[in-house]
Amino acid sequence: MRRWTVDVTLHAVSAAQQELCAHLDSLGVQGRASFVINMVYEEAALNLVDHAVHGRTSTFDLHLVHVVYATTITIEDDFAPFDPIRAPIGAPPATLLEHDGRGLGIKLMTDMADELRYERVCERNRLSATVLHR
Amino acid sequence: MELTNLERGDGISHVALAGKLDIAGLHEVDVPFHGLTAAQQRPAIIDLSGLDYIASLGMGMLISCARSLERRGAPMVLYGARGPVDEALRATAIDQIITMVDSEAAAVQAVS
Repeated sequence: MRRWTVDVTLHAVSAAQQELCAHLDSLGVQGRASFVINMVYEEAALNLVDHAVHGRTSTFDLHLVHVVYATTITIEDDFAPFDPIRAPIGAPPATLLEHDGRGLGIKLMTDMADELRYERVCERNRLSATVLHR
Repeated sequence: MELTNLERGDGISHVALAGKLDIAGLHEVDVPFHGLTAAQQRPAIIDLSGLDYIASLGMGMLISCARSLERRGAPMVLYGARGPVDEALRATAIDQIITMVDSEAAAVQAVS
């Protein structure tokens, strides 16, 4: 297992994304699996940068567990409760001119992760996504 | 992240995106991509065959440029997306609002 603690700033989130990608490469996680782990990290972390409030700290924890058949990423924070799995996703705008680019991240996570779980544990948000190695 | 201006000389902007359009990648290409597409105010075709990664932040860049062009009556077409990039664009229904095709020839035909 590999663990990072990341400041909730765009600069720190971006730097950690590069470390995460390098670590996935070193583990031999490639293709769709690498894409999905990276995407879940980016979406969850940017959501914290944009919306996180009422935290005791200004950081979040990132865990990566890699086994033969799957990789799981977990993002934990102590900000206000937010369950992306239950967040309402409206129908996509019918036309390009109506599209404001919002709501894509949750759709990406729920559609592309093989398993997406949310728990509220000890006043912390815990979001985990698993992708199978195909 | 690589952004390449592929000159065509026929009034169509032709741009290729390659690598990872992650947070750092977007920071590198966002402004020049707008300059090569939306700012030109003419039809644009975008080669995604070398793109390995995109999430909602990168999709927002594509939507913003395509929307800007659409307001001026100029279409933007994506072509060559593959693997999880293609899967992600279709999962978010981007293909319903921005035309996606397989090849450069089909992209040129779609904007002509």
